[in-house]
Amino acid sequence: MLQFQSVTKRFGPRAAVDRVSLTIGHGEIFSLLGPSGCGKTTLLRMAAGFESPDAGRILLADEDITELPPNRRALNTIFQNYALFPHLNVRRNIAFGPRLAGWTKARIADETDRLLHLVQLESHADHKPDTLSGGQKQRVALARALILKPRILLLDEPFAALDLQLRRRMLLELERLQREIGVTFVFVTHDQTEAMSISHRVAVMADGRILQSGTPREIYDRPANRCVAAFIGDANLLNGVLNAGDSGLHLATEAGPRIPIHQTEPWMTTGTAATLCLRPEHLTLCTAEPPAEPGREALLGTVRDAIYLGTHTQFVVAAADRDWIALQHHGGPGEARFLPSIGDDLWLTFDHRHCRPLPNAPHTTPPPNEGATP
Amino acid sequence: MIKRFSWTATTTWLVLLFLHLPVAVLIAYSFNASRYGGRWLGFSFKWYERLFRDDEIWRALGYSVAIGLAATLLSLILGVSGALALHRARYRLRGLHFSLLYLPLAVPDILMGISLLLFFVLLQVPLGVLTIVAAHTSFCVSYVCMVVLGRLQTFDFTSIEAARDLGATPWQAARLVLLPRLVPAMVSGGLLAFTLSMDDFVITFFVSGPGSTTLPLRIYSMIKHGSPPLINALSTLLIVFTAAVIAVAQRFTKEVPRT
Repeated sequence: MLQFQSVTKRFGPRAAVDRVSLTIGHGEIFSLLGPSGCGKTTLLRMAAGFESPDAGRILLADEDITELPPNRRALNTIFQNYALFPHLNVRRNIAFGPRLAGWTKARIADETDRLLHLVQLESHADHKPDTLSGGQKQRVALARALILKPRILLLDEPFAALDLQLRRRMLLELERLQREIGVTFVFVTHDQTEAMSISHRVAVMADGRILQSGTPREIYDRPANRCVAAFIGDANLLNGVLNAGDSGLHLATEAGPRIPIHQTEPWMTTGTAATLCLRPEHLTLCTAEPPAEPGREALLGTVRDAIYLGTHTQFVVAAADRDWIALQHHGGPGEARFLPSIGDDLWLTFDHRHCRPLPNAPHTTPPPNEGATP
Repeated sequence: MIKRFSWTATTTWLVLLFLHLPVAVLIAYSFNASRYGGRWLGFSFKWYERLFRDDEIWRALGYSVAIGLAATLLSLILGVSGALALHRARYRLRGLHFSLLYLPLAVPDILMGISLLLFFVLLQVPLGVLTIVAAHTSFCVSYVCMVVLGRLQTFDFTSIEAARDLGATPWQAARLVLLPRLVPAMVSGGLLAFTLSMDDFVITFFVSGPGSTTLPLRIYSMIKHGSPPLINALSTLLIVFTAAVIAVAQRFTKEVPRT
């Protein structure tokens, strides 16, 4: 549906977007996720036509739109600040596109009514945007963009200005709309929770490059490198070096544990600095020293912090000269779990199976047509 | 009952009196039958009658209004485009251009008058209505530009992008989104330019030529040749007219939503 082919955009000497190739499928909810300044907004603005790429092509439904001005692209944008027209009331804001497109008066009225109903703003049709709340403004922006029946809706940090409750409601509402009208959504966000919860697929960006794209689950379970692992969810990231020993290749971490590597990948060469990624939910806490077991590590530590999260408690444990994040589930009713308090000494154990060796640096040169088609 | 003495109220009244008493005296004296100020010889409309029969005053007023309208139109065109350029474009001389914008406000009128006169003489432009329009435009532009710049500070340029996104050409986006937001600033900037132009004496004095006597110049020469009561009557009419314009302008700006 929307395709970026090796798109590059430079601002001065810096490449804001660097040879990005990406294909977004029909009806997909796709998120561009990354810290601010990673180039995700620039990529979106190029799709909308507000910036033109220095190199590469952008295709919409197999048609080259790289040189097309924004008013001739069959996609619409929801801006971060909504960018409503302050001098027009809600109805006229929504009817702005159709008027320009020269629809008949009757059709404009019908469609505007339909959209007002869809976003539940019939009672506010005659209000000026200044008098609306953040959530209402956002729904006006949504209606204004959807009335033109775009093939793709681009959303630039659409929930950044909303509080948590409203953000959840809007997310659900957008999902519903997406099911009803089947439009393709492309989100730009720095909020990983938002991206993970709503998206079919996510592309993680940093420094103008796509580090990894895939389903939220793939990215969480199998991050491509240290950057992705650090950005998506919490992780214990241990510095280490790849060594060849008697029993084959292993990752020797600075913290101590040596993790054997069973499945070698092309980047894994002896002497390479690498990272061990261990998710907090894979760490187990226990009071007594666990019996030694092959494939299992045990470290003695002290609880430094405990954050109660309702169903879980997140512990920060000092062990082997570093802090470890561990997540303990409180368990079901009647199920007594070990929940230590701050200052307690305890044992921290984890399984080699749950350790993921990751390359430190993002990929060097991306293979052609990276960012698999859905 | 003892009424309490209030400093605030007293000073307010004194300041108002100080500001407006001369105007009140002027209005009163325009109805004075006496030829000379100072003594009240009874109520009379005769200065007004005289005023309406004075062709030269009406010609001068005609010049002033025509010059004012022309200078307003020109400074609106230049001022709005200048404000847009200064607000949007990022270039090396931007700081310098901002200072140049403030210059006509700071430079004494007499200096501006002399320099404009030298300039026109050097270019061998015959002095007259055209040079006055050019001179007035040169300082009115600054005022219009600053008023419009102030308005642009609160304008969200993503709404232009939103309009483009919804199918507007660059021209349509400017006309449908930017222009409606600039109208209040253009009205107040335009009124400011018009009054400044109508009111200007010093600069006009230098750049006017034969057959281009504006109202302030005419009033000045009338005082020199001595007919103050006529001027009182004229000033009263001007005050009434200005008050009416201000009232209309306030009505107009109220209807436009703020921010």
